[in-house]
Amino acid sequence: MNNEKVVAKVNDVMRRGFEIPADKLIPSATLFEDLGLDSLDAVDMLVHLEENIGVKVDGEQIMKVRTLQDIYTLVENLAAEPGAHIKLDI
Amino acid sequence: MKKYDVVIIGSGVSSLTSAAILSKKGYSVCVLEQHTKPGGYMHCFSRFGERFDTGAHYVGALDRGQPFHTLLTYLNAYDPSVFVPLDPTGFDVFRFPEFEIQFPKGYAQVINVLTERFPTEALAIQSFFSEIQTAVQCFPTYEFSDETIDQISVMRAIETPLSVVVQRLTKNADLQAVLYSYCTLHGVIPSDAPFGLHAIMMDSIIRGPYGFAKGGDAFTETLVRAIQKNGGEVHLRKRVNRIEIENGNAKAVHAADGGRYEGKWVLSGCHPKHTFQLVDRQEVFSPAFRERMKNIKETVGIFGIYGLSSQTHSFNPLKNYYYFSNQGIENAFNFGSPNSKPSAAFLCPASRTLSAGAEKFPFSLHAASPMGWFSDWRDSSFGKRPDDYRQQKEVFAEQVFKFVGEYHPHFRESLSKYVTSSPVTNLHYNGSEEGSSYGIYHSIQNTGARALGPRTHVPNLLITGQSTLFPGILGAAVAGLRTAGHIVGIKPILKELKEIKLANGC
Repeated sequence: MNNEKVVAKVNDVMRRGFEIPADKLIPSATLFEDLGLDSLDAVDMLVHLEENIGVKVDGEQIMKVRTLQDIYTLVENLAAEPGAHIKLDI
Repeated sequence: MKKYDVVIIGSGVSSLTSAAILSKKGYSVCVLEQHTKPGGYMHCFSRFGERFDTGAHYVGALDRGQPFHTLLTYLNAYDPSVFVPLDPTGFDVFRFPEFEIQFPKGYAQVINVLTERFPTEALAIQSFFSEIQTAVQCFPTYEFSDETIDQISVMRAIETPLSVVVQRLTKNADLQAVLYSYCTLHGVIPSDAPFGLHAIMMDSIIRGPYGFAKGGDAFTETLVRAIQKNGGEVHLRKRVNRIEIENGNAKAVHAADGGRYEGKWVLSGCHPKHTFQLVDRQEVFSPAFRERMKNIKETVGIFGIYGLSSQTHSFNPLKNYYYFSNQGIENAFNFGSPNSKPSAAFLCPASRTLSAGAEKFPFSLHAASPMGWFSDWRDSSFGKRPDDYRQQKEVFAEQVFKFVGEYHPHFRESLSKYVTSSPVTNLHYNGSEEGSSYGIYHSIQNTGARALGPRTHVPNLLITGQSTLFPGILGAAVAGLRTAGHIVGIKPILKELKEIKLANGC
């Protein structure tokens, strides 16, 4: 079960940053096929997430992301790191 | 209306390098330059009977078979009369409050000089330069390798901060300061700077440092001649004000004089922020991308002084001079006011020949300064800026003179004439909103996976320039190679470059 706040925040970032309709933002949605992003968008997404949530994602981690669920998990893991200050307010 | 394979916006080193490669490969290219002469930051200007360079100070890797020599040879743009080898016994002079170091040409020589100055740090010095040489090997567009890229080594080189490498090797603050000196050439502080970027800078300079015998303009001309010989076109006084988008692709480029240039590809060497502002359908960019571009950090603005000093015996025209305060390079880009002393300055001879008995030494002198000091005048017209702008420049110029005077007593009194440029001047010439010389801040955050270009969200619009790879003349040229490679395929070009390199004994 994902942290609801993380899910809401990531979805909000995706909706605002990439104008993706809310009903498409389901955990199993793949970034490229279902959400229509491409590899350049993936880099923008990385930077956008970092700036909006206050996380620092390394390049290798983001390359492994395939679905929205992967992003939720990634953010949750980063939030669990000692000293992490994640911004989850919308 | 003539249609081109590639329409290129701007004629800086990157754009011209791309144009030379593409035209060599048989593509029809058209370069559009807004100014009256090509070259971008290679521009020279004349004052007081001397020629002054704005950005062309010196370049590395230019010995036979080295990367820049190889690339220019490939482009049919290598003219030895354009360059002059700098003093091999000491081409870069680093002045610190307590000591001075001169870098001679060659790794062994630099290591010797540093070991003599820091005898207890011999192992650290040896290790540092060994790591530099290892790091540069993993960049195929620098070493011209057509083999498969070792992604792990590349990642390590660009995600490790320079400060981490240096602090792991030595705790000696003076040695650290020396190893960080070239941060002034990319404008990124050691804790943000990718080690790989710093490594390429140092490697190229140490191996083959050259100045410009006839200024940056002469270098530009060799590239333009090569392009024209290949059938390419370079048009001046063509200020591009729009990139026309049709069905998500770039269709044509519009100039302010009404000219319209259609291309299968559009390639821009202008600052990325400026390039994206030219796109007439901003909806091709996601809000996330627009936000990213708005927030992306720029390297600091640069202030320039171009003058004549009577201290002809204090300077060698075949050396460059770096001056540092005790503030430390980590704090070099934190500013007080225009009325405070800079923490670093760079002086470059404007002419690489100085005849015996010469009475004047022409130089350019640069120090970092934020756009904020001059932002009141950013919308005033070039050449028509008011007196208070000039007064503001004078305030900082005096501080720079005072700082250099700590190393060369009476430097201020030795000046007969000078003119100055500010970040606002740079904005006019290179479109950097911070008046920077190096484009976007080449930190780890903006490098590697997060780097801009050459691809953009418009499939047939590519960007090039020092903001897309690494700064400096060599960085710009390699960026141009990489962007052209995106159109024609990089591997065959790298193979040809490798053959030239090998044929020249490297």
